[in-house]
Amino acid sequence: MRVKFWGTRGSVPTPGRATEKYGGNTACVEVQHDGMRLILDAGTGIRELGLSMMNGPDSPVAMFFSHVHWDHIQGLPFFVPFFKPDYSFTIYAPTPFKASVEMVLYKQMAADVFPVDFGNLAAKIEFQDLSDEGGNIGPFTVSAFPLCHPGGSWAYRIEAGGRTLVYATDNEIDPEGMAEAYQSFLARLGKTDLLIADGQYTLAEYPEKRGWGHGVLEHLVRLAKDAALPRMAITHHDPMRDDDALSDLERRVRKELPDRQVFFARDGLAVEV
Amino acid sequence: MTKEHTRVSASRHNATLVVKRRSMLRVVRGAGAGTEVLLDNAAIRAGRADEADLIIDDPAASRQHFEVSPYHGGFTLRDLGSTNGTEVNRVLVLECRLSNGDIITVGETDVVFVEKTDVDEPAPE
Repeated sequence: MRVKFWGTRGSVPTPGRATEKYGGNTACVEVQHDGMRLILDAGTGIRELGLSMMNGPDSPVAMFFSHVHWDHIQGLPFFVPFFKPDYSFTIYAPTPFKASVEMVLYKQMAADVFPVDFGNLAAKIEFQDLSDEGGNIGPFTVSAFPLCHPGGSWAYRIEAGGRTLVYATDNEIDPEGMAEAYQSFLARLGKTDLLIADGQYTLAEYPEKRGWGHGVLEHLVRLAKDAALPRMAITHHDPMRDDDALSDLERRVRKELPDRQVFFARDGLAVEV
Repeated sequence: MTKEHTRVSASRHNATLVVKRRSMLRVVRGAGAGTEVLLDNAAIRAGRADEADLIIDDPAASRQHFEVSPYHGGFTLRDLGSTNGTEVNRVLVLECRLSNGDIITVGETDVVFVEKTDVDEPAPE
């Protein structure tokens, strides 16, 4: 699988020179394998992804949303392939989440806030349930499980070519204060070749951020050890941090996990899983 | 490849300042340490091949190992399907937008991406 990060910032876009290393676009990840493309979340990073898709329509694209907070949907009205009639998309959502996704995507492009109605987009777009057991989507096997975030969030476990990727953003996993949720998440990870995880805060910041539904870097370090993760990409960077601050934190985290490949995701970074 | 990547003119006291954002790759470890290649508006290729713009004389290097090309005012690195892979800051990457100080590693060779801004001031009248 080829995994490309198009948006790695949490909460709100952060354009400018101080953030150009890690990037300022909000959440969007592209996964490609065997000629098919998945899109995970549609923050502002999806705009550039859309431009990269303009060489011609490919096979139907499958889209997934962790949840529908602004930073995971706000790029969608500017996703050019949605305006092209020869592109087709299926938006998959876990059954309890599907109605919410559909409603929010329509409302985000309602006439009073955007000039083009979601229902009038030229591309073929359909919504489909992702059952509890997950399903086969082209060369991928995809399943979902719930995370800890206000209003809910979903992780996606994606398998293809004998490799496994777990996308789990907007997830609070305090191994001490939320031991049951932590153990449940750990059990869900199983054998994972790459975990993409939310690391917005540090432990020092956590007392003020408890209950906000985001990851803490020190908790991720423990998780990587407990789950024996070989690779972890940390994303959903705090919009208050500039490149220097993120570089410092990345060095600290990598020092704690010297025997595995852990990195802070950057806009435009592509890796093989 | 000697042309500066970005040229911005600004006015101060009726004189013209020329701000140049220059980018380069500099080999800092391995054979060829000290070699520099200035980056321009054209893509450059690095690898073991004689015709590479930046020759990486390392047994782990493929003939055409990676490419660096302009992208939105900066530069992006793309692995060219090399046998042993390309690391940026010790992360194995297929593609990565480069930032000042990034270290590109191929085998035992380290190449740093350097970006600096120079201001050419006119001679006093």
